[in-house]
Amino acid sequence: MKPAHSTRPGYLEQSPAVKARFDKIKQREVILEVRNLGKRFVTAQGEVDALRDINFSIHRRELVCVIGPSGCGKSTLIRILAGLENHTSGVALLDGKPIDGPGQDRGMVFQGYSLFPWLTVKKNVMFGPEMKGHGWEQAEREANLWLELVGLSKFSDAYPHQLSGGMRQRVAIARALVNEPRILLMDEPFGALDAQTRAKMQSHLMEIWRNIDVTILFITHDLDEAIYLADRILVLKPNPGEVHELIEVPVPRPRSPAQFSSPEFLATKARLEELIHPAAKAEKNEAEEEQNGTPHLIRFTNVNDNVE
Amino acid sequence: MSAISRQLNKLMNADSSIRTLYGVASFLLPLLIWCLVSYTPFIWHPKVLITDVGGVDYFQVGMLVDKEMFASEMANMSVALQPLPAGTPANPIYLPAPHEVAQALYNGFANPPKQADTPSMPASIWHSIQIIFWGFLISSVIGVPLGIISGTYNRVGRLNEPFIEFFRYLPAPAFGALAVAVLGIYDGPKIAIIVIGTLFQQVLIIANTTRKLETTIIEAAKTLGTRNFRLLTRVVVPGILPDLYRDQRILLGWAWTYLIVAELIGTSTGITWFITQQARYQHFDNVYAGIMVIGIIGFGTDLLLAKLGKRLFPWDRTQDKS
Ligand SMILES: Nc1ncnc2c1ncn2[C@@H]1O[C@H](COP(=O)(O)OP(=O)(O)OP(=O)(O)O)[C@@H](O)[C@H]1O
Ligand SMILES: [Mg+2]
Repeated sequence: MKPAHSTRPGYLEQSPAVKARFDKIKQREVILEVRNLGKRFVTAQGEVDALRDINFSIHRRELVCVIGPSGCGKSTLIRILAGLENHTSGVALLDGKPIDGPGQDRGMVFQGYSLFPWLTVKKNVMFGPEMKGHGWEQAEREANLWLELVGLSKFSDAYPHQLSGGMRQRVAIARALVNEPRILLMDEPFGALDAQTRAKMQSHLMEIWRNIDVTILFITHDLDEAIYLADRILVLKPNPGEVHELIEVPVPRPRSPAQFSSPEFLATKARLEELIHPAAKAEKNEAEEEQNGTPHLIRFTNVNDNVE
Repeated sequence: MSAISRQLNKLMNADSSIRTLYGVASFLLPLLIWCLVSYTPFIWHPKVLITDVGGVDYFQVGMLVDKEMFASEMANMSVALQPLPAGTPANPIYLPAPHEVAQALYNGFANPPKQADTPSMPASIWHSIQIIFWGFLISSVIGVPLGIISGTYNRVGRLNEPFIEFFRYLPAPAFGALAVAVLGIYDGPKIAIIVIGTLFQQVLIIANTTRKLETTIIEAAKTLGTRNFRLLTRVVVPGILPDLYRDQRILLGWAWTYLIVAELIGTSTGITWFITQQARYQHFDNVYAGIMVIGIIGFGTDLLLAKLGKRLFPWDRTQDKS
C-alpha cells in the first residue's frame, strides 16, 4: 500500500526529534487495538459494508485523527469503539479487553449538541461521577475542577442553551474527561463551529491533552485540523470503508498555527489530498459516481441570465 | 451578532404586547356581536315582550310572542275596536343579554338557588372538578408510565400500541351503560368515562413524545455510564418532561370535553345537572352562566399551568415560540 521508497515523498521524512518522539510513543503500552474490524449494515435496501478489515492500534497519550470522505465509515468506527454500535467481524480491544457496550472507560464527544438541556453546566459535568456512585460533594468538586480546566467556571450555573457553540463543546469535553477515560473519542467535535472558534478549540484541546493523561481518537474531515492535531492520521477510503494509509505526521511538536506553511505540513497535506481526492483517477470516479447517483442539475434560469 | 439578537428581542417584546392585544380582542369581538344582537332592537329581536295585554284574552304581561302574531292581533283588535295590546321587541328566551348572564353568574355564587330541587352553582362545579380530577389522575397514573415505557422500549410499544390504536376509536360514551352496570350509578361510571376517553390517547401521545427525544442525548448518557433503569429515570424522563407537561395540558382539555357526557351517565350530577335543571325551568341566563364557568375554569387552569410550566422548566426553548 505504501509508495515505493525510491520516490520517497517529503511527508515520510522525519527530523531526528520527531523520529525520537515516535519511537518513544511506540514504547508506550497499547491502549486501543483494532484487528480485522468489519461492520455490515443490513437494511431494507440490502447489505452495506460500512467498514472492512480495519487494523490499527493506538498507544497511550497518542492523538490519532481519522480522516476520509463522507460516508467512508468514520462515525461507524468511532461508534463501535464507544460501544454504541456492534461490529460484525474482527475485534476491538481496550487495554486488551474486548469492547462490549458503552462504558466510562471511553469518553465520547459528539458533533451535535449532546449536553443534557435540563441540567446546568456544572450538573452536566457532575453526571458521570454521579453515575459512578460518587457522592454529591465529590462529584461537585470534580466538576468544578474540570470546568476550571476548560475555562467555564463562570458559567457553571448556566443552562446549555445559554452558551455559544464552542462553549458547549468545551462542556462536553469536560463532561467526558471528568470520568478519566482511557481514551477520548471525538466525532467531528468542532465541525459545526466557525473557523475562528474552531482554531481556538483546537489549541485548547491540545493544551488539555498535554496536561492530562488521555489518549485521543479524533474524527474530522478537515485536513488542516488533522495535521495540526495528530500524531498519526488514519486515512479511510469509502465503499467499503478500509484503511488507506496510517500516516505519521512529521510536523514537530509543540504545534502552532505558524506551522501551517512549514514544508512538513505542506508535504503531509499534499499526501492527504492525493489520498482523498485522487486526481489521476478522477475520470474513473466520475463514471462511478454516475452510477451511485450524482445529482443532475437542471437549469432553472434563463440562458441570458448567467451569473458567471 | 448581539446587535441582531437585541434587535430581535425588541421585535419579540413588541410582538408579545401586540399578541396580548390581539388576545384580548379575540374575546371582545364575539362579546361585541352578542351585545349588538342583544341591545339594538333593529338587528334581530324576532319576538315581542307584552307590556299591556289590551283586548287579547290569551296575552299576559311578560309573555313573549312572535312578531307576526303580535301584528295580526293588533290588526284584529283595531278591527274589533278593542283596546290595543302593547309590547317591546325582544329576543327569544334562549338568547339572554350579556348583563343578564353576568348577573346570573354573580347570583349563582352569591345566592342559594331559588328552586329546592336545583343544585347550587358552586356545589355543582366543585363536584365536576372532583370528577375531572379523579378521572385525569387515574388515567395519568396508568397512561404516563405506560406511554414512557412504550416509547423507550420498542418491544413494549409494539405489544400494546396496536390494541390501544384500536381501542381509542371506540367512543368513550358507548361504555356508559357498561360502566353503570359495573360501577353503579354515582361517581364511579363518570370517572370511568373520563378515564376511557383520556387514557388511550394519553399512552399514544406520550409514547410518541418519548420517541422524539434526541438519540444523541441517550447515547451521551450511555457513554457516561448510565444503564437500564437509570437511563429511564435520569435521562428519558427529565429529557421529555417539558413536552410531557405540554401533552398533559392538552389531555386535560380533552378530559373536560368528556365531562358533560360522563355526568349524564347514571344519576346526573355536577355542572351538567345544574345546566339541565336550569334549562328545564327555562332559566337560560343560568344555563349560559354554567357553560361559561366550564370555559373559565378550563381555560384558566390551562393559563395557570402554562405559567407554572415556564417556572418549572427554565431550560425549555419551545416555550419561547408559543
Ligand atoms: N444505521 C445504519 N444503517 C444502515 N447504514 C448505515 C447506518 N449508519 C451508517 N450507515 C452507512 O454506513 C456508511 C458509513 O456511514 P458513516 O456515518 O460512518 O460515515 P462517515 O464517514 O461518518 O460520514 P460523514 O463524514 O458524512 O459523517 C454509509 O454508507 C452509511 O450509509
Ligand atoms: Mg460522521
